Amino acid sequence: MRALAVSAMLLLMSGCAAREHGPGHEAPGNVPDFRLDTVDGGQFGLHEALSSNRLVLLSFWATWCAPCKLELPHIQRLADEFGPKGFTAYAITVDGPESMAGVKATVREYGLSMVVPLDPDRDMAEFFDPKLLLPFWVLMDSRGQVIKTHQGYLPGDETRLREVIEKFLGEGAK
Amino acid sequence: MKAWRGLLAALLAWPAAVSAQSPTFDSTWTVGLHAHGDNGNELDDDDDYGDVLSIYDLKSRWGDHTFSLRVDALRFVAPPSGDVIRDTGTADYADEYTIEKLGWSWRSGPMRVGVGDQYVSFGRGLSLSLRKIDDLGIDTTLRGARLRWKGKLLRVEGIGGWTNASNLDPINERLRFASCTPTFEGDEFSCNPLRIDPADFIGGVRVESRYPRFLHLGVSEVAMRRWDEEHTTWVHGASLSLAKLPLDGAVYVEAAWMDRSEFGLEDGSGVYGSIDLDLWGWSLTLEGKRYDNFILQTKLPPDKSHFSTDRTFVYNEPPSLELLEEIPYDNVNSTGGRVRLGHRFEDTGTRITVTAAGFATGLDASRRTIEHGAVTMEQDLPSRAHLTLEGGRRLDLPEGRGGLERRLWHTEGKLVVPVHGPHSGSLGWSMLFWDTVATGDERSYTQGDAYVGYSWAPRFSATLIFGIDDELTEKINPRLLKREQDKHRQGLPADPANAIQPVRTKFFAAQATWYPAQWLIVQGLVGSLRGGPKCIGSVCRIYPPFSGAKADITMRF
Repeated sequence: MRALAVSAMLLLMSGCAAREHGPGHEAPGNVPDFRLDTVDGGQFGLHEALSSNRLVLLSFWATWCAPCKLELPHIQRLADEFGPKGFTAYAITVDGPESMAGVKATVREYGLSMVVPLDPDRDMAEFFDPKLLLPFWVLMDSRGQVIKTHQGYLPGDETRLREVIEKFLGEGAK
Repeated sequence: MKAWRGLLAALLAWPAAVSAQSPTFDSTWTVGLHAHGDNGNELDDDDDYGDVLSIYDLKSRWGDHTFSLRVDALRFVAPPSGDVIRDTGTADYADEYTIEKLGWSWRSGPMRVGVGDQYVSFGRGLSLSLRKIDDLGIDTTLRGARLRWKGKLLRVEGIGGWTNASNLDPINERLRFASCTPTFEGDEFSCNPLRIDPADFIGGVRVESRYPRFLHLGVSEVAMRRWDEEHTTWVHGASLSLAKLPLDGAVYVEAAWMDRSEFGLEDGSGVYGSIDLDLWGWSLTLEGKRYDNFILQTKLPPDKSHFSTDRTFVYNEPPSLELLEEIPYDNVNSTGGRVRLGHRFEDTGTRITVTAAGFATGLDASRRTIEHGAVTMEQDLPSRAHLTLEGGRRLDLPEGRGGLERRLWHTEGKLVVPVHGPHSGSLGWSMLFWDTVATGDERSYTQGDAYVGYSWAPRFSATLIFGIDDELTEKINPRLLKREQDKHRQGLPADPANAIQPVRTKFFAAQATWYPAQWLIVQGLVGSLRGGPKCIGSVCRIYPPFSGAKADITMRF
């Protein structure tokens, strides 16, 4: 009886998980389908994010990283401006146990409306950047192909990012 | 070693049938060339040598399979040796080449299976936290197996293996563990059993329910058996996370109990909680903790060198709630809380944060009370300029009579000014002004750095760093002290005062970073940097001062 109950539970869980891979999403081939909780209690799935957008920016940051907080408002502005054209940015925090409680407050105070996935184990961050020098971002197309990566933040970097986004979305529109 | 070779061969030979996709390979290779001069700390065992440090990371993906490999290498040039090492007890200037991390994982839908080196954390780290903390040069994985199931309603994770700390320490650029005991008898010495890794066994399981989606309930069980012990420490943990509350609120509570009954030792316990609310545009975060005898760590060998004293490998990471990273303190027995209030004024672009914290730490006679308040202001200025200012006051007072009193003012600031196009300048500082009182003796000293910088986005940045640390103005040179002791033993005139020498209190360095291509970063530094403690959460270590030149080249391909 117990074995039956366990089997039923596993089947139930399989069913739940299978729905996450429903039709309409072509699985991008080059990156794993990372799944993270988000700061507002939701869920982030990388494959779904890639499949639903033409261009995706994954920006890794932490509450204790001062340059990250200089860069994030610029990324938010780019997300607002190019959102209607198929560009989406995700602000993925790598805050660990010590600073996790401050993430939501930081998101509010910096006026971030981007989805903020939580990566406290740094599973996803380490995949894209083993050295994890923050801030770090990776720009990808809907197939999971990396278009550009960037480490650190110098004032003016956002101008270069804007050029890359404009170029990609412009070419894609032709 | 054979086992790892076998695993490597098996992984490389994985048949193409597993996936129609072609494999991808991403490499990051960092090579550091470091020339160490006299860092002015009056120890002879860390001066005048060179080293080459290489860290190579490979991530390869083939269908649902991910393979990771890290190879570390360290080669010394003219390292300290002979009497210098014998007198001060260090013996970790040994060349090293090692496969530091090796792992394979497979994902299929909600299932993930991993074998080899993996980082593991349960909840917010009260029960278990093995992760990479780059700022502290800590990189400990669990070498074993891990199984994870991430369903929508239920998450289950099981782990088992042995702790694997990186052998090379990137902070002091040496082998992490002293290779031999510092007590020499003639030319004989015995080797440290922790020569390579702590190799403590850790097994655990965590189950987390997510129904409804805004309520996460977790329970965990961890067992740790240290490398030289036959008893097990059991850690029972539970957590509750509640999101989407009124006022955009969220609540998190985690508790853990460390059962050491098999040892006949006192159990440990820890509780941490946080509440976050949006009060009409003001963010309020309340945190509280109570830890009693609460630490899960390896056991250092009795013959540890003085370099290993700040390397206690800790396998849990309860939040400390401390506001400054430069101050280590007792988080094993600590009770207290922190309040943070933040707001952004839309019309002026000003962000204000007010933080207050209070703790009682330590046991019995060493019990202390800490009170800390700080204010941070950020201001967006015209022409994309940005200003950050922070200031605070921290009091660290003994509860009993006669202990050390430590009073601190601290200030931090940064101004970034775009000059023209991609060119910008910056100015910043981070200073600690201490007053200490011990048995009526009052002392004041300053620790901190100030810097000016220039950047040309996205190609280049340069910074001049000025440092000060006058906590100690003179120090005993252990080698000279031993010489005086030897003289005394031989009946020759000796004076221990001859072993006291001034230490460096002012530091200056120039640093530059060049990004010639997307795949290449070149960093260089010349001059001297002050050392000192650095803490991330409850994990701390001492940075050694540095003098000399460094070049680090990072390649991605």
